[in-house]
Amino acid sequence: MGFLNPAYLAALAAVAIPLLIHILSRRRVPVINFSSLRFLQPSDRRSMKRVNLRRLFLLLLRMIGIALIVLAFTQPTMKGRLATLFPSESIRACCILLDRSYSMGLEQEGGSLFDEARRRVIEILGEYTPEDEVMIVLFDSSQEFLYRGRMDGPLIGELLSETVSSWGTTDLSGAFGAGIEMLDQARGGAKELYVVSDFQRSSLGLHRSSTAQSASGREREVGLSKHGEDPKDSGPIRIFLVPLKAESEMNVSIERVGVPRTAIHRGELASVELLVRNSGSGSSERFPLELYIDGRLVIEKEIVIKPNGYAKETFALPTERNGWIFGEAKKTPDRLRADDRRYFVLHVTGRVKVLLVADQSAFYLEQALEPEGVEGDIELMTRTYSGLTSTDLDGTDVVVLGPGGEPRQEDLVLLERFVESGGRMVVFIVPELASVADRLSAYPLSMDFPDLEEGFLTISEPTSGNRFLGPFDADDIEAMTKLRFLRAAVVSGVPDARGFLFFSSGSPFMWEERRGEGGCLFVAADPRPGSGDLVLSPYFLPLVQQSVLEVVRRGRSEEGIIIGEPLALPVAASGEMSVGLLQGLSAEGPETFIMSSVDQEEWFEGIGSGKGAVPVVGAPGFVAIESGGETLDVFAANVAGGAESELMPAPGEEVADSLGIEHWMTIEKGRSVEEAVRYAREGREITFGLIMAAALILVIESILSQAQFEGKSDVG
Amino acid sequence: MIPMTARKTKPSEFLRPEVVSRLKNMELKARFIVEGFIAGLHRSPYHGFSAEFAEYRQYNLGESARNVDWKIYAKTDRHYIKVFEDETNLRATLLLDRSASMDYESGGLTKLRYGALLAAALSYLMIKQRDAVGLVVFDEKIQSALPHRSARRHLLQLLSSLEKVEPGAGTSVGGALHQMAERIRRRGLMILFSDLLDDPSRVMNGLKHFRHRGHEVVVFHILDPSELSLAFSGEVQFVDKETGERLRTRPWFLGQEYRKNVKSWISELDRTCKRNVIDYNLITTDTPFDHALVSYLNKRRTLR
Repeated sequence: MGFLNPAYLAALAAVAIPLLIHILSRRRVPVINFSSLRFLQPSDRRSMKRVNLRRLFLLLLRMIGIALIVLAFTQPTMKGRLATLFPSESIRACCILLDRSYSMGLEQEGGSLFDEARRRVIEILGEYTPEDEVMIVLFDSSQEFLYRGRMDGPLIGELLSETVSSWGTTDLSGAFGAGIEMLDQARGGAKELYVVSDFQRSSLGLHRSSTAQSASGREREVGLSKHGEDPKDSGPIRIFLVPLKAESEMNVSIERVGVPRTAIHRGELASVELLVRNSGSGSSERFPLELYIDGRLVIEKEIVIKPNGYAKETFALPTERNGWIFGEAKKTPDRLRADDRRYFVLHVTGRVKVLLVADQSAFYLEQALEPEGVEGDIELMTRTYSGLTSTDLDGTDVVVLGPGGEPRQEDLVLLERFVESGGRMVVFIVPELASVADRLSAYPLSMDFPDLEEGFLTISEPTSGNRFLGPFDADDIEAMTKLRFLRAAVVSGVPDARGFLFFSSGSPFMWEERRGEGGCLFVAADPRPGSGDLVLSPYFLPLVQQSVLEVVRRGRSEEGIIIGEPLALPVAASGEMSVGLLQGLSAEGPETFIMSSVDQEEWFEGIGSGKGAVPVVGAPGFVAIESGGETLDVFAANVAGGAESELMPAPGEEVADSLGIEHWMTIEKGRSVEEAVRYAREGREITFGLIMAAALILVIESILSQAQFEGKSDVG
Repeated sequence: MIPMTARKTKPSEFLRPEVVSRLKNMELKARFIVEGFIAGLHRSPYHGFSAEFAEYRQYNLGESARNVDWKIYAKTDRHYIKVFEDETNLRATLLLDRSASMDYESGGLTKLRYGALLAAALSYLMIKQRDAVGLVVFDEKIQSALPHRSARRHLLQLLSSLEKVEPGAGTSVGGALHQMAERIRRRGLMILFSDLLDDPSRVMNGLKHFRHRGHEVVVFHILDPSELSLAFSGEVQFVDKETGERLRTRPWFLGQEYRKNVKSWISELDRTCKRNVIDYNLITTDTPFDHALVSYLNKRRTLR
């Protein structure tokens, strides 16, 4: 016999209540000095024996009645012949959670773990009849219904045969919560939940938040039987863990590929760092590591990794062309192939062509952009405002508007078109360019140029992660905050979120705005001598160069996209950018497939300022973000390293603990599902029978008690 | 002192034992009972046992013509009745059982107290009517005895003795009655106050002994109401007052048989008393005293 709510067993102590009352009432017998017992004597002995017997019988009935009521609360179950006297379960509801994370792709004799999992699912389905409700959920870091409806073996078998393991990691807790929720909504009399997985230990802690969120609710929902591995009795939801154990825990994986964050110029060697791990505990592994660039093998190196060890290898890759270079790191395939290759992207640029429009007063700015005698990243061309022609903009990446005049009206129209078609512009806000800045900005600017001879301005401490301050360390930034500005534009009307740097007065020093396909960077500083300390300071050159280079550099994360996780992109949130199409390049090469078309609202959905998001990527390879035929950015998408590659299965207790369940049944490999499930189902809940028995006993007790009092003036 | 509310209350209300028991001394109690009793009698038919002239009263149609004073009629041509005070020399002996079983009460007066009050009231009434009253208090044997007197001061002795009476040891009503029957030779009225908790045949033999000696016998069989009903809640332990025997039981379960036994016992006593011309009065300690006094006066009238 088992109990579905064994906690109530403690209430069996209540059985002692009638006994205590009985004992206490016997102790507190009042003494009556009666005149004579002569009329009591003759009948006393015989009657009192009857009374005592009846009282003991009533006491026994009360105790049994209370015990039965308490036992009914514990929802007892019974097995064996007696159990057949109680009604059995009729229609069942079954939910099978099938792990399809990439660790399930582990190849073994007779197929992959996922193949074995499908066979176990078919075996489980054999325990259900066409009247039963069946739900099959594929899960990795998310869940997907494979089937929901009445049991239909052939159809489900067909659907299962079309499924493959994914590239995602395991969110066991999330899937379990979803399974419980689905069973709660199911109408079957008996509910059974199967989790078919390799139960990677490392994956148990991956999604702690979802575990914590669902644990409290689950304890209420899932109350089964007792004692870990013992067969379990029936209950609200029976839980079966079906582990699929790997034959070997040996696995070598490429955990991470690190690429440079800064722009790479053509001809430079790009430093690529690979982290490789041997998660096996047996022996050292020796294998060749290969790096491909645009599908061509460029480097091959043999490496050796000790058991449970890591190898960090750095390779210098040649960059022979501009643009996006598609890279791939490979190792010799082992049983788990998903983590044997990893993709990366290098963005190679040539020199940035900058057109500076200013007069002689912008000498320092010109020197900062292209220092004399040094061939830097910038190829500078200078023009005055009066000498600017439309052909000057051809091939120009960035236009810098400096002091010394203002563009003519027709030139301003050309500049606006230049920006709208993807060009970049840096505008130094000096008094003569105030109207131009106002026209180019999307915000209603209010500009003031106060005489700061008396009270100078300084730059306030920037927030961390400011990409325009990339080359500066903490000491540099601290020194920059001490620079005095004697001439500067005090601008208002720019949202704080758009600013990258601010004056200590709170007005923006530098902010960026998207416009059409391009954008403008506004700098509220005068780049002429006498405007303050900045121009003559050692920080002027790197700040100007960084500003110009940064506006042409697309932001991207170092790691690229991790499969199963949404990618956050730093994008302008001005509401002006239109993103046309997201396209992905498959892992196998140039084949392009459409991932999703994303409109502006979707792009900005649920994001904070300066952040964007693209849909979750489902397969490793390359993801390109395109707009109007132009590639805005390209990312490498890879499986999450580490968690799934360890191949360390967790025991049932650990899994149950992480899921917050107390009662479950483990169907180990080699054990028949049929035998285990039928054994678990043998138990019949006898609560109803107990309630009926308790009611009967209490009725008998009531009748007997009434019979004693009947016709008596005293009710005792 | 009679409470002010007495004027608005029926006199018989004051004859309830619980009211009488609140009074200070026995004389007051006795007087209270008797005066209250008499005040409750309209046109008392009992006013006239004395041979001594008391007063004249106009004859009312329907009254017996026996007491009409014909001399007055001859002189005045009106019918007057002579009212006398009785001077008959009735010897009444009050036999009060003070056995241990009489010391039982279930919420009011003990049977002994009730019997003593009733005896006091009868003493008062009888001495007021010039009857000679004697008192014998007994348990297993005679414990005290006062001779028969009709003087007023004898009443005080009687009342004093009744006030002081305390419960005794065991009981042997039958034996005590035989003993008294032997000692009281002159015929008279024997008034027994007892619960008669003895062997019924012995009790009846004792009473018959009185009858054999020519005495008139009135028995006030005093019982507590609970002795008739055995109305006790739950489980109790009875201790026999006379024997000290203990019995633990649930009275409600035994009640039916108990009541049957008691009823049978009382019926037997009543039947036997009637057969032997003994005036048997079953009275419980919650019964107003006037009931007992009426019984006595009925008996007294037959003794003229």
